[in-house]
Amino acid sequence: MHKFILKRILMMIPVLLGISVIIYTIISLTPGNPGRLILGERASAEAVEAMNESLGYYDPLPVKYFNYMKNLLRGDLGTSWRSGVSVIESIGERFPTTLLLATMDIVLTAVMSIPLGVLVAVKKESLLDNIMTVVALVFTAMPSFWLGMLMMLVFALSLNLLPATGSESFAHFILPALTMSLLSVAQIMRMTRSSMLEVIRQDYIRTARAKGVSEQKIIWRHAVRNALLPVITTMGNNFGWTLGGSVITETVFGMSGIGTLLLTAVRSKDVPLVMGCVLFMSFTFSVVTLLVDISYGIIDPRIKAEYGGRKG
Amino acid sequence: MLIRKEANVEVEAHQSRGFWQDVGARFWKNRMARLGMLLLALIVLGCLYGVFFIDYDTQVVEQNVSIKLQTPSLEHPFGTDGFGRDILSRILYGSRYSLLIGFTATIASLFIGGLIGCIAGYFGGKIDNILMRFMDVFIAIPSTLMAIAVVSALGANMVNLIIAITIGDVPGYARVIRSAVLSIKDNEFVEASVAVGGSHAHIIATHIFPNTLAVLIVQATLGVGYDIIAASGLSYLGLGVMPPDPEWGAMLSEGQTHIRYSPHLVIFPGLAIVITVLALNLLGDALRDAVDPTLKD
Repeated sequence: MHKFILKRILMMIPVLLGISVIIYTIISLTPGNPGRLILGERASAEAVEAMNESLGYYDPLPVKYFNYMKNLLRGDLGTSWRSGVSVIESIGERFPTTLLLATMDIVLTAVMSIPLGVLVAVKKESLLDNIMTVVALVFTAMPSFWLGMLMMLVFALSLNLLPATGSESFAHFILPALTMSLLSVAQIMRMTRSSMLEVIRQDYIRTARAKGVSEQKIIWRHAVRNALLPVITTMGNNFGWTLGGSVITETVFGMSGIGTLLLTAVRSKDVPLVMGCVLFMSFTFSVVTLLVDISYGIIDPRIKAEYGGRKG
Repeated sequence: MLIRKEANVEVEAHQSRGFWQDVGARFWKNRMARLGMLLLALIVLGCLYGVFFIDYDTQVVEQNVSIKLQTPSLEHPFGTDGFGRDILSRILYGSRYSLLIGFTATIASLFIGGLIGCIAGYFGGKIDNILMRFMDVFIAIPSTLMAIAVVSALGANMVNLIIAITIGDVPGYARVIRSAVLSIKDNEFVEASVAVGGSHAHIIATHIFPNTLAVLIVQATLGVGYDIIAASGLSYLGLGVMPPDPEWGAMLSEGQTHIRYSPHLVIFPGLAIVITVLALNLLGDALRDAVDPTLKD
């Protein structure tokens, strides 16, 4: 098992390096004069020039990238051109909001979609199944920001149940998290359904039936456990979508997470802040993918066996 | 029982008709496919109406504050927005952005991704390894973030929006097409072509590529809908088509300021997105079932 985990961690290093090269190269294409941005319109041309020189603005791209990565390894992502605040501090300040939002999204998605998926698989082609198919179709076609606005319109502005914008209290997180999860519920539910239908056809289910195991037990003990493996992977992969999508959801609901931090940075051409946010979110996504991968190895006895864990 | 019946139908069909005729027949039998076609036809008609009959200067961007924020009426079926502009005209005119961005980005990413996938799958070995590890890195960057990075570097306009979305889509298509190529490569007709001295380019162009077409078309139909949502999202964030141009996401962004008292400003452009994407998804799902009936559960 340790060998499996170690191998996965080592495999991630080139991916992280690759991500940083691509993102650094793309964002470095941003036109603009950092010295001018930092010192303002009134500063003299010489001062701006000196500032650019000290920032290493005229160094060739590989040198700049190398220096950036050297600082990154020391936990330094540079300072914002606009506010002068350290990028890592700004991110640290905003990350809890985004993390809470993403966690609530995933929990809500799992709680809603997995039981529903199992239910419609067991009751295949029933009225409920057909209704859920249509609901899933409509939700898949819905942009998150529009669903967010509708939720805000109904639950905040008309019914006054929840706050419309902001991220000060836990109540502020309910509508945004619900918005994000409703969109993934459609997908995860369909996936659970088809995964269940696939598993139900397997020989071991037939064996269990032949042995006289109760239908209840077959579904929940034998089928669901096996059907959930691909579902878990998809949910892990969706975490990247969640992080990207949080930019949009945070904007709709005016929350102060990393998403809105990134957007402000993009609008004010604050390159170090843009770079820091995008890199941080991509790295987080990679780490989550790795954790999902490892947990998959722990859950799935086939992978466990391959790496010499306890043979079962 | 059901499975066996389906398999028989397929064998019979393959003997009597061509593959694509068969796909067409299965497609038209599907109610959802016909609904999708109908919706898409309406959307294309609306778009054409916008192209020929709606004048940008007088009907789309001209402000008339005296009639601002009117609720739907006979004169303005979807009401007017915060600047007194007719929402229906703007939605009809704006359909061109979504359709153009959705289709262009999909075709471009299919072409690039398809080429990478074909080369990786066909040659295999080192080339495959290098190309696909490169794609792995791209996939590890969430596509919305990638698009934001690209737009923030190149600037916000429609062309850069298309580039941003295309870059995010390429790795996914490359993977799908690579695996399609891998399953085709070992067929006897490919071997035969190699035996009679066909060049690599010739084999890819005449034997490999046409056989990935079915997978490609299904992916593309579903991809257009996805890209339309992505494009409207970026425009909503102010990173795509910019106001006053009536892209649906941009209209929603402008409309949100009036959401409390004039919700029709956000309801209609959103419905336009949902109906368009729904039509494309219905077609995509139906095509997938028609191309490979065994996938249907």
